[in-house]
Amino acid sequence: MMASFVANPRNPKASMPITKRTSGKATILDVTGPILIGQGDAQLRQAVRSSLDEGGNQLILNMAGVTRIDSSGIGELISSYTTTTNRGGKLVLLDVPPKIQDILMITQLSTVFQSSTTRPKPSRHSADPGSAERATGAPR
Amino acid sequence: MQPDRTSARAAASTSATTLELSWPSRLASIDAAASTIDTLVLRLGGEAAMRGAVELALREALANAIVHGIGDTTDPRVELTVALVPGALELTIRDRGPGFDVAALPDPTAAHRLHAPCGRGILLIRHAMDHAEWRPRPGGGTELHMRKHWP
Repeated sequence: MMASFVANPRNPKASMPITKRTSGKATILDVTGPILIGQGDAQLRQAVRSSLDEGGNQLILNMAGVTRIDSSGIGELISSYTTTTNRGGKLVLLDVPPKIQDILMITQLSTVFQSSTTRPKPSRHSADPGSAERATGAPR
Repeated sequence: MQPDRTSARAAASTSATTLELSWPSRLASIDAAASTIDTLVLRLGGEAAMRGAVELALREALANAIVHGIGDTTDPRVELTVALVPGALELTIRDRGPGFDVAALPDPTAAHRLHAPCGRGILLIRHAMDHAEWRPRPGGGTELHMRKHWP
């Protein structure tokens, strides 16, 4: 497993901390802080696209550290999902905080996103987003 | 960022308290406004669910006003009025944009719109608040009036 910090190339001081690590075939992005218009949305887009560009198309967004989200942040999540699936990959959400899960329910996007509350465990075999879902009976 | 225009008045006849604020119409103002209003709601005794709902609605309303509501003005501003009236907290956001027909907006929860990257702000406002009404502003622009029941 390796980890790296994804910076905002336009304004490193404004970066929302997104740590990228790998577990088998899966790329896990630990997202922390807000995902709001002008605050975190562009960083999330950059992190997802750079992961895809590097060849990882099994993406897990660990949302446990996300403090708030607005419609722009939700839009960025669905854009990330679409971009990933268009490249033949898969994107799932992990540990979505309740108030953000509420917004996914309101917007009906809970029907689009597959999410899990169980962290994928690294194993000798490949880890992928699907394994996390199967472990909990997701999608929800 | 402090609001650059602030006034407060108490209307003794209704026991209402009104606060009028304005900020430059730019994204950085959203945080400033949200922080100011959250502090106000907290001091008034608003609980976590109330604070979260008001903040979400306010952020969405201000983002719409800032992104779509600048119009042709040379010094665009977004104006906010907050009033605590008996039984309710009321927020009114005004901009100088071209306006829009809220009834003509597509339903973002329709199956064919679920993957759209935008268009969910008004849905979130309506869900967070007990009442939300968009109307043309006299002289041009849009006025959004929102109300949340205050226990």
